[in-house]
Amino acid sequence: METISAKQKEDLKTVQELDFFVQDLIEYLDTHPDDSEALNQYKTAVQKANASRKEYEATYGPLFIYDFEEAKDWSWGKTPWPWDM
Amino acid sequence: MWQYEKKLQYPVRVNGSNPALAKFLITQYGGPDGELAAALRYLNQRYTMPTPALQALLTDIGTEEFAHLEIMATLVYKLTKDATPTQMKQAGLGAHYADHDKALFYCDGNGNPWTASYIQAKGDPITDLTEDMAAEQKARSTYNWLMDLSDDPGVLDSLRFLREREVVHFQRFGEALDKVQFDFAQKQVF
Repeated sequence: METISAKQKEDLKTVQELDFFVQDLIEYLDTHPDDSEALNQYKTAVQKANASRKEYEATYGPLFIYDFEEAKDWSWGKTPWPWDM
Repeated sequence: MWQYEKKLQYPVRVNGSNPALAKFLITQYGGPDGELAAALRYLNQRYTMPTPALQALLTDIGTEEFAHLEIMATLVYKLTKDATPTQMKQAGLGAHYADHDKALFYCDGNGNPWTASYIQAKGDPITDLTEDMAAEQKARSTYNWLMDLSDDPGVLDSLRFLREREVVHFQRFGEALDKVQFDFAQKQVF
């Protein structure tokens, strides 16, 4: 099956790390809704994660189907799926 | 609703085919303390949680469990995809091969199919959150034992991440339980 380059793996890892930080903050805020410092961290983390995802997608194709408005062709089913990377 | 992102929550690397290890790992896919049970437990309990904040927590953790399910699936898939039928048989997966070829299936390490009796829903937030805390600890223990059985550094890396998430979710459910008990004592809700 199709595999991806070491560079793509590294770039994907950057997206994964930033998204993970957001996920962890979401669950923390669910039980600490009044923690304003965590809320500020969340806001910054989401901005960074979204920017990083868009940057990755511009090079390697969509991660999220709603980020595909500039698409020239339907690569959703052409780029490798996570279990084949 | 749910939307899919075409990436794993955490990278999965394996050091070649290892169906014997996959046979053990499958329990965290479809076994009693596995990720399918976790996702379905929380996403089913959330409807009767008494506050929007508790419903948020169950929704967000339940959703993350699906990402963990995909990590376990990827591990099992990668460790078995290049195995021959003979290698599957030698690894103790001959019966799995007979029923499923190399398709994944929701089962424990002995091939017992996933069952809803792995999960509970009592409608009482103290009871359900206590079950959820126990479930996280049972999953953490399972990841410990799976790490004892694993000699592939890539697999160990993924299992270490998943084990840590059990610890964090146990903490979050504990905080939620404290809040419920505080609210009960104040008679502010319910």
